[in-house]
Amino acid sequence: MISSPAPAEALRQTDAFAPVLTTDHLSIHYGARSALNDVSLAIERGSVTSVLGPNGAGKSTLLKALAGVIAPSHGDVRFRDAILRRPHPDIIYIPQRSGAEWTFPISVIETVLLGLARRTPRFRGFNSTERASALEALDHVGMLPLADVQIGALSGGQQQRVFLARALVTRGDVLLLDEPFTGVDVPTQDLFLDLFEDLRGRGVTIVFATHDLDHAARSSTRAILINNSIVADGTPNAVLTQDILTRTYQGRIMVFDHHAAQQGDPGNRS
Amino acid sequence: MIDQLAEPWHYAFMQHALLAIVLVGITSGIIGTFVVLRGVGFMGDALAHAIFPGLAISFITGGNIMVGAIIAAIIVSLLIGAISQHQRVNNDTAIGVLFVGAFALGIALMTSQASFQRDLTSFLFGSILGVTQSDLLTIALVSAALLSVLYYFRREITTISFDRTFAAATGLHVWRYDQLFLVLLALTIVTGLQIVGNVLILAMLITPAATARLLTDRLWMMASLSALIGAIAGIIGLYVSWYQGIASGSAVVLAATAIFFLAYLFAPENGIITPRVRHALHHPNPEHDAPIDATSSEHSVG
Repeated sequence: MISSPAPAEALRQTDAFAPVLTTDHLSIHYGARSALNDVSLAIERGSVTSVLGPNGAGKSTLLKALAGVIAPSHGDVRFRDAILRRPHPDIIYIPQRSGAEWTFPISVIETVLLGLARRTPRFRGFNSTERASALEALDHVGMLPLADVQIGALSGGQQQRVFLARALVTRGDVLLLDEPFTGVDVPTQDLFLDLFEDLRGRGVTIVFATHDLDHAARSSTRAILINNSIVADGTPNAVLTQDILTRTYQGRIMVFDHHAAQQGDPGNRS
Repeated sequence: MIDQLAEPWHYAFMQHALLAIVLVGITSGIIGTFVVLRGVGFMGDALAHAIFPGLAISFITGGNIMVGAIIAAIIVSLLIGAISQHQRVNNDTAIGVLFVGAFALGIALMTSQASFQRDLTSFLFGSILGVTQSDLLTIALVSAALLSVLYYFRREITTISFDRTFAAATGLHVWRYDQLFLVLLALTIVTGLQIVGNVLILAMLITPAATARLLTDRLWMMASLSALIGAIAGIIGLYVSWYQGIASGSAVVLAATAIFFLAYLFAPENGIITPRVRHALHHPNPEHDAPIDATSSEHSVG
């Protein structure tokens, strides 16, 4: 308590359980409509957090706010204790797949290299080191054989893998994913779940929005249920109960086989 | 034959015209690549018309026509960007309102002058044979400047054209780059104005780039091919114009259109005819529908 603030801050940054990303009474309005109301969160370093809720609950809005893409109407978002006013290079946000122009003449490896564009000097092309790290990232997601294929020729799952590779190549330490499992084949979903585990082991913090309770239960260390504001927040086991889900989805969800989901719970593995 | 090819170039005005059309073909081919990929052809059309008041004012006041057009184009592109920020006015609507409004203002200004008729025609259809040395210099400088700016911001503009959400997420100021691109587009249109006129300049932006898209899946190859096609269409058009006595602007655009249809039918991979011919030659049995080679794990779907 008496020590000077500088060492204390240094200590907090190295502490594995220190919050890396926090929101304080965060509210976001689009015009008159409230998308997110009074959300206070602390995301711990190296955690995997799933954000669940019905359509329009504010999942995407929360991720965009955590990414610094949209500004809070009230409250603030802090990254490593500094107020986040704009996107930070160490926070990687992977938007929903539908945003890109699929007919764009760009290959898989070029797409991944775009992840490095901002840190590559303007007056030269990508060098062999950068190409090597792009290929390594593609290898990570099992897309190395398709490195030279045009992006529009890929399946939905393959495209999502490429976008994950584009995120991995930047080596940021916070990964925010909006609906990474939507429209994606089962092998890709499994690959993502494995990668989450792997990244978490390397100290990467992951937050993802999903509709899929099973994925949330299997892969996250923490589940946050939102519907405009936070309805429940805790371990998947504690939070993903019929009662809380009914409250979150306001009766629009009825059946959830909790015990079946628990069997794949990575919490049991650790 | 050689004599016929060489004949036009004995005249200084044809040399100027040739250099001008090649410069405009290259520049509009490269900028047009992004116009086509971003689907902002309507914006190009709008800008081409919206520079009219700038032309009229510089014509009336005796100022430099290029400068007037550039200023008008920048004002209109910024206004379109600003107005479309309004929640109830989408981008196409803002373009529609400003484009016709500015065009009407230009015509009003022109018709307030006694001798407008001839000049109006030259703005609408270009007057390539009247390109002077100083026009040529202006076109060269503007082209060099805007291609340099495009090169400098190539990664930003590529990222934004490909994936706007991702671009915003990496901290790019998407709106600012949109405005920058519109200014580059406006400058391209102005350089092409005197060559093919403001009605036909749209074709120089769209057609070579659309043709190149049929021929390649690589962005910078597409831009290069588009520039090449623009320049070739310019040269062919100029010859046809010289020997057939038709308006140079329309000859150039018709040449570009013809090249487009050649590619549309005979492009090696994406043509209407070529792949079928090759398919018939190599696969006499109709069964082949090669899907893309998937990664191995894709096959393990239970």
